[in-house]
Amino acid sequence: MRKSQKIAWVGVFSSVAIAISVLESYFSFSSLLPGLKLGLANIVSLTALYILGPIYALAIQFVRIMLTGFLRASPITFLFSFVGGMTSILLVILIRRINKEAFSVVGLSVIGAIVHNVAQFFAALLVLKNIDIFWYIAFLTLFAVLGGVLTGISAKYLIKALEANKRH
Amino acid sequence: MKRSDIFLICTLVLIFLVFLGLYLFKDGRDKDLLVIQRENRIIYKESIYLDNEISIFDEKGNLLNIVHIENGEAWVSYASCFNKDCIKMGPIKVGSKKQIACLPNQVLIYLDSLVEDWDGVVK
Repeated sequence: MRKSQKIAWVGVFSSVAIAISVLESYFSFSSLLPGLKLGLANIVSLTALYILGPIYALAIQFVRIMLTGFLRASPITFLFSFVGGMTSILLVILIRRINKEAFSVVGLSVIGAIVHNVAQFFAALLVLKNIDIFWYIAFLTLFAVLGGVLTGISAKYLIKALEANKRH
Repeated sequence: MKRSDIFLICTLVLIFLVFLGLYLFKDGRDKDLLVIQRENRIIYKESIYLDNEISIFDEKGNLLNIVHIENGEAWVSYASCFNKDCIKMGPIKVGSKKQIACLPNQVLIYLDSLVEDWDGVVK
């Protein structure tokens, strides 16, 4: 794929990721656990990582967090999204760089979801300075696994479809 | 899915089960002191059985949250933030182990024990 094509794809992927993020904010599971989300926008970042490469995936994640932050978030919510989102994509890229075969896209998705929650927990700890919020991260772990598997499987099929399309 | 993926998922589920066990054994029964914390400062600390309505403001005087305390239950009835997660969380009461967190406003509402405070004074 040419660089100009990749940049065009960054635009497409970023728009889709922003739309998913905004839509997802209307479907909250907060009565179960505050801040609980499936993280569906990560399908786009993971797909971009496999189709376009790490730099482009990082760019898409950055654009998505910045724009959804400007659209909807308060400074503190933006801080949490930024810390969680950027840490998770950076770690996923790093793991894939060290050993491409270590995990499948589903495994990477689960790792991304867990790292996202752990990073947000430390950001919350920094703001609230109350260790009792640790219990949230404990329960978010389970939902991160479920969400990570779901987004990972979705990304797997999307990657397969886009790879097949690329060949034609 | 690879074998390493399955191993990872199983490990995480196991970690969750350990957390769940610890959480279930955590005793919340004696905690009847309602604490409201904004940023890292405690702004309210009274018995949960004392009916009250607490309005929380920021430094500029903007209303952030309203906390209702009635019949031994406390809940957030107003939140200035977009997601209103803290309102959706419902009430906390003696025996419940949950906290109410409003991260955009940096507000945390939880139950604490009077006994711990007395211990602190004795020390």
